[in-house]
Amino acid sequence: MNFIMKLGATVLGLIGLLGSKGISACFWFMYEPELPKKNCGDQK
Amino acid sequence: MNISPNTISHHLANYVAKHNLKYKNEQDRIRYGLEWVISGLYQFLSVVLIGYFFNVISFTIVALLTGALLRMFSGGIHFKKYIKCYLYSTVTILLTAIISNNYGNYLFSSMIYYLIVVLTFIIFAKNAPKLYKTNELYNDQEKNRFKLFSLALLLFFYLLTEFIIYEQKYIFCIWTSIALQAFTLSKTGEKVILYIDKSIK
Repeated sequence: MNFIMKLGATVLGLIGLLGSKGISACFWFMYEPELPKKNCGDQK
Repeated sequence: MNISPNTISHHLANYVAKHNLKYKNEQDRIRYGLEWVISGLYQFLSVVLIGYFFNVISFTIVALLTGALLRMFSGGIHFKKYIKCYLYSTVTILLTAIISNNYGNYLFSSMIYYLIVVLTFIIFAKNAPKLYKTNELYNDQEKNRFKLFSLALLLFFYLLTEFIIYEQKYIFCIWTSIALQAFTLSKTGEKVILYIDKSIK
């Protein structure tokens, strides 16, 4: 169970990190999330 | 139940940080990325479902992809709240698709088509990229690269509609989407969107 939870967290984490680089930021809508706080690692 | 991308992405990022400590310091960056992914997913699924319901699915996908590809590099004005942007863009895409499917062949005019091609090239060359929150993340060289990518994409769409796609209603759909995207880059578009944003709670 722990392994599954960790695997899920890793997959979500990777999706989040890829998304933050703009890979998915290409949809046609006029919304932009708040940028991540600067103390959370490199932003680009 | 709050299913906004912001709320869900916060919950998921908390889950990630709790179950994989390696990502603890990246929590907010993961939240940011997940918020993009979720809002994009909502947009895509809505457009596909509504397109299917109105029997214009191919047009909604064409409109979405055309606008999405351009917006990736050119940016554009934003609404402040997610729900407003979601509704505005979904309605815009749906209307573009329905009008293109039902009236595209009648409304298509070569003169207006070339006029829109020229005008959009001018607007993109002058105003792209129009960045807001991400403006500080990119230097002038990177912004110039975005402008060039935007113009290259415009050229790609022009060549596509000039030499490959012959159905006028699809050409109408593509260039209406591009014109709407150009509108969000223009000063008039900025004023109109900001006015709508302030007028609607």
